Amino acid sequence: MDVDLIFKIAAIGIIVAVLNQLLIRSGREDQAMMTTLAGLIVVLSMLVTQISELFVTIKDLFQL
Amino acid sequence: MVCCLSLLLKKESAAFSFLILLAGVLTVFFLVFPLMSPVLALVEQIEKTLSGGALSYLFKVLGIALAAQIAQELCKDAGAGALASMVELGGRALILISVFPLVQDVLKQVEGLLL
Repeated sequence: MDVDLIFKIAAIGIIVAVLNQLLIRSGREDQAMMTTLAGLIVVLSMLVTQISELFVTIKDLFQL
Repeated sequence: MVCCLSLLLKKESAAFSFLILLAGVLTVFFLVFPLMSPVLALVEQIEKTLSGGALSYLFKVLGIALAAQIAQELCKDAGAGALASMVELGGRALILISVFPLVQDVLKQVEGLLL
């Protein structure tokens, strides 16, 4: 586990936010929503593996 | 650092700020948790020499409490207070279930003493 996960997610978040504003200004609100959703799903898929790793670690250490 | 990153993104999309907080929680957890393992190994040695089997229940309760605590605080961070209390209730129920055999042993011993 290392710190670059946070930077990766922050970078994706910033890119999606900027893209969102760009698309909204150019009048394509629906595409803006699509990109936000896409970014959210990418980040969630990255985090899901980390969360499962978290619970596996707790289970191993406490012999649950 | 994680907090200011999440505040940065709060205005555009609150979902991302919560995800960054979640990533921060996971990272700090994985950095801090390996430090705990020697303590747990020491407690295991103590358990083998001294008490019977009650300490394994302690381990179980600790693990469940830790997981429930993390989930509950995360829900509270996201602003879902009711969900947080439900998660806490679930954690308590699991702990009670895991300690149930211990309570039965105690009751048997008490009955043995009284009769």
